[in-house]
Amino acid sequence: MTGTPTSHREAVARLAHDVGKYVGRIARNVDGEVPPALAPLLLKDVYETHDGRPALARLAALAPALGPYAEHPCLLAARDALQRAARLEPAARALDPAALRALLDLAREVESQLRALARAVHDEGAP
Amino acid sequence: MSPTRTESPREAWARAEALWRERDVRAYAAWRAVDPASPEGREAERRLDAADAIYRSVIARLRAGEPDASAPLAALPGALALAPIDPRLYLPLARALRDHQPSDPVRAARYYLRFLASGPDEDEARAAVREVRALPLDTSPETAASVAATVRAFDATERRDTAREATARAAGPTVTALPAPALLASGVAVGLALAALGGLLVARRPRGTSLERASDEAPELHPAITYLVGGLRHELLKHRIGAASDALAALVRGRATAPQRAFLEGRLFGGEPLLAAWEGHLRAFERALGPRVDLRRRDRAFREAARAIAEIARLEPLLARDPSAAIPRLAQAHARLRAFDDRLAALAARLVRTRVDEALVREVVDAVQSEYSASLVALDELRIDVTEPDLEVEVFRVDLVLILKNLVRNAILAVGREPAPRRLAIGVSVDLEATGEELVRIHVRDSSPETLTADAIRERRADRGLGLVSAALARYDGALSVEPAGDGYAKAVTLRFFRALERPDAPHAAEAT
Amino acid sequence: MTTPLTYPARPVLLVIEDGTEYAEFAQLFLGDAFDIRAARSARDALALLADPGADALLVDLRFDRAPREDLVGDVDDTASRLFGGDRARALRHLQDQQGALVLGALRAAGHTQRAVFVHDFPPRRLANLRALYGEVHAVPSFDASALRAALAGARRPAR
Repeated sequence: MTGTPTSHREAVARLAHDVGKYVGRIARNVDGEVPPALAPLLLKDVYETHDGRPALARLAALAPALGPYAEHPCLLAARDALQRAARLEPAARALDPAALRALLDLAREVESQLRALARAVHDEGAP
Repeated sequence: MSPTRTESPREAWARAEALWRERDVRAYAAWRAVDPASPEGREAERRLDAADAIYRSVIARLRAGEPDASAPLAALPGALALAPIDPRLYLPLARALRDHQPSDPVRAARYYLRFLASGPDEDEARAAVREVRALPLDTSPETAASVAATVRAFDATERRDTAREATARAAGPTVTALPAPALLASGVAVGLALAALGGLLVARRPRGTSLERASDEAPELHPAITYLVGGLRHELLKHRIGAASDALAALVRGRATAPQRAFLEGRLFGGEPLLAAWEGHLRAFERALGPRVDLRRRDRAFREAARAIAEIARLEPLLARDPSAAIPRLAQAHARLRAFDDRLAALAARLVRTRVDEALVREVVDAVQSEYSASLVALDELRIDVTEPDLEVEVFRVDLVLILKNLVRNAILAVGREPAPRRLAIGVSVDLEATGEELVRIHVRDSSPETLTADAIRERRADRGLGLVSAALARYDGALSVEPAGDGYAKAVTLRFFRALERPDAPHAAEAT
Repeated sequence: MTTPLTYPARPVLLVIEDGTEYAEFAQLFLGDAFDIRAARSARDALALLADPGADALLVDLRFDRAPREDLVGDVDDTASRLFGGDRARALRHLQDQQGALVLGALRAAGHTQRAVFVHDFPPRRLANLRALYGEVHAVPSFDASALRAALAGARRPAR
C-alpha cells in the first residue's frame, strides 16, 4: 500500500468530487425517461467522466491511492454499479430507452455511494 | 522467498502466516511476497505498513531518549501482534536498545541474534557480532549461550573465508563468492532467539480495561487501535450489519420483497457465521493490544455488541419459523449494533486528531526537560503561548508529540551551547488562507544563533531525530520551515498543518436511497 | 421616433470552470432562468465581468485541466510558504483550491456578485469563505433545484 492515512483520505475526497459528482451530473436531475437531448450528456457523464475517461477507469486508476478504502463496501458498490453500466454501454449508446433508464439509476447509485464513502472517511479519521 | 508458480495468493498467505506464528525470520519476506493485487496480499501490506510505523516509532523514541526508557517498548507487543518486523530494522533496534536501555542488554542481544539469523550483509554482520559479543549477558545464560554459539560459527566462517581468499589470490584474479554466514543453519541460535522473543512481552500485566479507556491512557496504541477499529467497522458492521439495514427496515414495515429477504438472510446468516467473524475481530484486538484491554469483561460497549451479535445469530431459525416474533428482536439487536458502530466511529475520529493546546505543549516541554542532557540546561525564559480554542490537527498524538519533542529538545540543547540569556518560546498561530482553509502553525523559537535550515533538517539522518521529523511530516501533509525571529530570539522553527474541520453537514435531501 | 422597447434581460450566470460540465449543466437545467456565460480562468472571468457583466457566479473548485499559466497563485511562493519547498504539492494545492482563489481575484477586482460552488464543504470552511468573500453559497452536488434555490434573487450590484 502506497501512501499515508492523509493521502488515502485525500484520494477518497478526490474520487467523490471528480468521479461521483460528475457521474451524477445529469442523472440526479432527471426522473424516469431520459429526454433525447440529455442522452448524449448522460453517456458522457458515465463513459467519459470529466476528462474523457470512463468513470470505471478513473476508479481503477485511483484505487491504489485509496489504501484500505479500496475494499470499502461503498467503493465496491460503486465499482459494481459502474461495471454494470459498462455492460450497458452498447445499448445505451444506441439510445435504447430501457438501457438509458437503467443507466440513470446506476449513475445515481455511483454518486450516492461515493458521497457516502467520503462522509464515512471523514467520520472515521484514519482507516 | 517467492511463491511457486502454482501457489495461489491464499496458499501463499497461509504459508506466510504460519511462518509468522512460528516467529520464523523468513516471515516478513513471505508476507511481502503474497501477490499485492490479491485481497490477501493487500491485507498483508496493510498490516505490514501499520506495524512498520510502530516499529520505526519505537526505534525513534528509544534514540530520542525518554525519562522512562521502557515506555517506547510498550508499543512493541502491539506491533508484534500485527505483522512481522522488517529484518532491516533488527540492527537499528538492537543498537537502540543497547544504547538507550543499558539495563537490559539481553533484549538487545536477542535482536542482534535475529539480525544475524536473517542473512545480513557481511560487513554489517561483522559489526553486529562485534557488538553483541561485548554485551554483558550474565543475567541470561541461554542468551549468552546462543550468542556464544553464533559468534563461534561466525568466526569459523571468517577463518574459512580468509583461507579461501588467500588460496584464490594465489590462484589468480577470480571472484570468489563468499558463503552466507553459517548462522542461518544455526538452528540453536534461532530457536533460542525465537523462544526468547516470546519473553519480550511487557512483564507488568495491568488489569485490562475498556477500549476507550485504554486509548485514553496509552496514546502509543492509537495507530493499532485505529487500524483494528477500521477493520471491525468495515468488514463486520458495515458490510454485513449495515448493508442489511434497508432490507430489515422493509421487513419491519411488512413490505420486504423476496429478493430483499434473501439479501438480508445472505448478509446476516450467509458466509462466515457472525459469531465466528466477531470472535475473529475480538482476537485480533486482543493479540494486538495485549493485556491492556479486556473487551470481554471490562468493556460494556463490546459486551453489549457481543450480545447483539449472538442474538442475531440465534434468530436465524426463528426468522424462518415465526417471522413476526423474530423481526422485532432482529431490529432491536441491529439498532444496538448501529449504535456500537457510531461509538466506534467517534472513537476512531478522536484518535487521529490531536487537540493542540497548552496541555499538549506543557507535556512535551516537561518530558524533554526531564531528559538528562536537557535537564542540564538552565533556561532564562520559557514562554508558552497557545490560546486558540478548539484547535485540532489530523495527526496521531504520538506522532505530533514525537515531532514536537524533537524540535523542543533541539532548541533547548542549542541554547544550552550558548551563553546566557537562554530563551525558548513555543506558540501557536492560526491563519486564514485565501482558499478558506486554516493553517495551524506551531513555532518553536530559541535564542541560539546556531544556523539551521529546513533543508538541513530534511536531509539529516535520524541521529538528532530531525530526519524522522521530516518523514513524519510528509505522512501528514505537514511542513516545516526555519525563519529568523525577532524579539530576543534568533530563530523560529515552524511546523505547519492544515486545521482539522468537522465533516460536511447532514446528508443531502435528494440523496438516493 | 418611438423609443425601442427593451425587455428585461434574463440575469447572467457566469460559469467558471476548467472544462464544460458546469456550463452544459447550467444551459440545460438553469438556461430558462439565466443567460449562461462561461470562463476558464480568472482572466477570462474578469473580461466577461467587464462586458456583459454577470448577476451570479457558478464556480468549480478543482481546476486540474487548466494550464499552469492560467492559475491564480504562484507555485514557488506556495511551495515555500506552505509545503516546505515541495513544488509538486504546491501545484496540486493550487489546482485543488483554484475556484476559491479565482473568486478571491474577482473580489479583489471589486466584483461582489453572489458565488455558488458545487462542492461539499465542511461548515467552517464555508463560513470562512463567506467571511472572506461575502455572498458565497455551496451546493454539494449537481442538483438543479438546489442550485436554483441558491441562485434565486441574485443580482449584480447597481452601478
